[in-house]
Amino acid sequence: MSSERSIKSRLSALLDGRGFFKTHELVTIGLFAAGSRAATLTLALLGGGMNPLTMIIRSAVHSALLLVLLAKVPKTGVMTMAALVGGLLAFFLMGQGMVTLPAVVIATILVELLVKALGGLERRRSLGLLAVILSELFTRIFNVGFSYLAFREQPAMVIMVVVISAFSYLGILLGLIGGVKMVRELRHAGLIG
Amino acid sequence: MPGLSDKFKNAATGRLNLAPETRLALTLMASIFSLIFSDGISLGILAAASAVYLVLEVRPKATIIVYIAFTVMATVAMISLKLLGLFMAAMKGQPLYAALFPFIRMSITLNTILPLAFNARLSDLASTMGRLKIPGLIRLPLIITVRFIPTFFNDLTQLREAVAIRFRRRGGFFFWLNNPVIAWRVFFMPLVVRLIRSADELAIAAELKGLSASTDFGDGRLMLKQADRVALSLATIGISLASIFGNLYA
Amino acid sequence: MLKVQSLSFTHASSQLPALTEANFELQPGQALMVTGPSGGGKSTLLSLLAGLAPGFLKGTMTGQILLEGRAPQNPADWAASVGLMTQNPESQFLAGSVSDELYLTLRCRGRTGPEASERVKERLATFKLESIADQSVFKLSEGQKQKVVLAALTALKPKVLLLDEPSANLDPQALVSLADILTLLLAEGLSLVIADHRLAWLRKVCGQVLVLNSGRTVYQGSWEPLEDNRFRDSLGLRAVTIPNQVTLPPAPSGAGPGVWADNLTFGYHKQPPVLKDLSVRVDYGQVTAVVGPSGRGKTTLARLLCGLEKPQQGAIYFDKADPHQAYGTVVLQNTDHQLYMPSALAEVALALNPGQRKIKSPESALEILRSYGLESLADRHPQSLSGGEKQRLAVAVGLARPGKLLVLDEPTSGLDGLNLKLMSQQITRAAENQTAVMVITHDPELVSLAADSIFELKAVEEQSIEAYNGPVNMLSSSKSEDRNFTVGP
Repeated sequence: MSSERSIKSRLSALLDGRGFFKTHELVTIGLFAAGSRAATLTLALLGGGMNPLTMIIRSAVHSALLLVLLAKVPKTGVMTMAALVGGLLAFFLMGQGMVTLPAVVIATILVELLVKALGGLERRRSLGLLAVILSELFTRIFNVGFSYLAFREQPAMVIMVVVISAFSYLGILLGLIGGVKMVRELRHAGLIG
Repeated sequence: MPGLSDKFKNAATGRLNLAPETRLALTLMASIFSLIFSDGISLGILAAASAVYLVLEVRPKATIIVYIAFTVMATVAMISLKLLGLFMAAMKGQPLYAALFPFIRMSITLNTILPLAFNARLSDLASTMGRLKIPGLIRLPLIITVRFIPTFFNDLTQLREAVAIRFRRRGGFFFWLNNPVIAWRVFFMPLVVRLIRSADELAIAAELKGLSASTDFGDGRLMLKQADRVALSLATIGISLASIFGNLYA
Repeated sequence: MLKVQSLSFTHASSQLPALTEANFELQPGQALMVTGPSGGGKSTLLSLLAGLAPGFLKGTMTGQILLEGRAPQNPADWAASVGLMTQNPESQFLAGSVSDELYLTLRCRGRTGPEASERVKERLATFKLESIADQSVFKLSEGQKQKVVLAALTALKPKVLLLDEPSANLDPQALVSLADILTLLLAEGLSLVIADHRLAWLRKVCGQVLVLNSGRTVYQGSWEPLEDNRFRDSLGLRAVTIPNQVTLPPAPSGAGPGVWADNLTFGYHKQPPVLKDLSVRVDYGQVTAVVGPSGRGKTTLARLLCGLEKPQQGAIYFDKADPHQAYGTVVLQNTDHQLYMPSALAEVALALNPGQRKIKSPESALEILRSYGLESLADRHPQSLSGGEKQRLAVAVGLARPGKLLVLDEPTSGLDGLNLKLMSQQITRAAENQTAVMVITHDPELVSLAADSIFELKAVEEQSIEAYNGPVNMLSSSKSEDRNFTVGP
């Protein structure tokens, strides 16, 4: 009984952010999630949402920012938090992604567990790269599944989502190349630890 | 709306007198049922009802701006769809109205999102999230996020102007296309730097205010007023009617 | 009462202490001014007094900070007793509107209901903010933003208020208003610790002075020793008194050897005009200071000269050339948006040749850095430079680009005395190269050091050619007794 209470109080403390995430870490996660969503929204408005070039650039910006976030706050749980906050924000800003959010969060948690098993971001910062590569891949697989539900009257649109996902994943990989260089440079400038 | 009494309308703002929870519930209902419905009549009724709600809650100017942007995006998507149809057999033979369904779904969600985005005060939103038992772990980044978005767009404007001055008469779009590495540095690096600095500044602001994930906002109890009960009832009736008519004419 | 005993701090990323053995005491109603060269330890001291270590500020702290005889134990304890206003007040806002910011501040401390509403109303009235209570905090002037921050901080009834560089972005009129507010807060029994580079405005507010250099206390006591020029120069401090009379000719107007605005009229988005029938000329080889209270259209004039806005009436001429062929270069206030490359050298090289992917001929870039005394920073990342160094690099980058006009928007905000002098030398040197230089500034010290002529931007109804034919008074609408900073032919 007492151990059950202890687990409950530990879970409640975790959810309230006591002990695990510091205020400034939560603020950083929130800001990067917002920055990523707002930048991709702006690019979509400027270049058209379905323009392949825009799609690649949007994904590149997103993955580079995620990598910088993981370098600034190298902690287990940061990716999940970023996915959750980013998903809720996408819903509030664009009315998108509410239904896919649980699947995206589950995918991210699975990747976080894998990264933890390999030593964790706290010890091996280079694992951030692997984490982004895998989580973005899983997210796209879930998105294709969801698109079948949303666009079932138009099976061709499901094919289109597959094409879009391929383009955007290409952007993710390109963004990671830029992101790795950027992290190195930001460390040199003393902006991240 | 002269027909609406003070019970339903806030005299100061001219908007409906709804609790943030009600606006959130309406958004969720619209979002979920727009996915469930798959026929034109049900989706049409839902779109019409959500449009009435939008007109009552958001200024016409803001609505028009958002809808122009939405229409541009939808048009580009439709053109892309048509172009894809030239190359892919699976895309041919689909009726045009079917291609509109995804956009009707998006517009229904948009109609209910806008009142939420335009009418919620940050301190009320923080209390609402507390009442809804949203963990502080999520609540704090979300509060900060809402605060940060105007700063981000201000940074974008300043960056655009700095680039316009520094790279004037360099060939515009083709200059950047020809120099992708410089384009990446010029447009992206300052934004990342500002993001990192803003994160530090806002973290200090939060620490100084004593704001943390476990902050008690004095959330109080949710009191649904008559306007909230009427709005939620009308939404339920609207969804039921959409479902009935959709099945009748299917 | 605030008591600081042997306070020292070393940042986690550094071997050298940022603050060493600071000691002072402040009674209720007393104010301490903390000054010293950039990097001297002022901000570190304020961060420690605000309780930001060890939670946010990582490092090793020794010594004690006592409030009413006891050391605060946790962030909530600190927030209840101490308030900090940072250099950029906008970064402290967490809410969207003025009243919402006050409510949120109280809610964070668990104060809600009628008591909180009353307190918000009372603070809005005290700080004369009622008329802008529902306005967006992002659309306020710098002075108004500071008032909102102070109203929110004092709503919690703290015992100590800390202010970091409060004068950095204020015009002289707003500075006078801030000094009045601080005097009022002192009368209410608060203790104030104010870190600033601009000293003159604080003489009436602060009774005590603390000068920090490299983290060490080099002077503590009354104001008298600061009146010695040699003492101030040795530490790179700014002036203690602003000269009452500086004689400068007014800027000319009409056609001539320079860049001139001819009968400009401009307003934003169907708003009433900010500038009306305005004419002024900046001659090649001259530095013209543009002064006047905030909101008069100084930055708008710069935007017009640099092509960011198009005049609704009138035109801009570059030495009789087609106005569309030669815009000026402007160095904006926030340098974060203007520096892109991984080193100072690459930044100047990019300005010289925007299409290059690698630095092909670093000699010319290095020559420019050398001519402005920045060669030691050539390999440094621009984002790792101090505020003053970044400003000077941004000006060097502006000068590396071809152009006949250089406009600088508040280039000395937040700079210490040494950087002020270096900046003014850089500006003078730019003019020597036959560039027309326009400096938009609230800083009388910069005007007296660098400007050849002065142009006061008056209220829109007074903006006409005739209005500028006589002597101008830089602080004409100020309420202060110290405002007689006049100029004349």
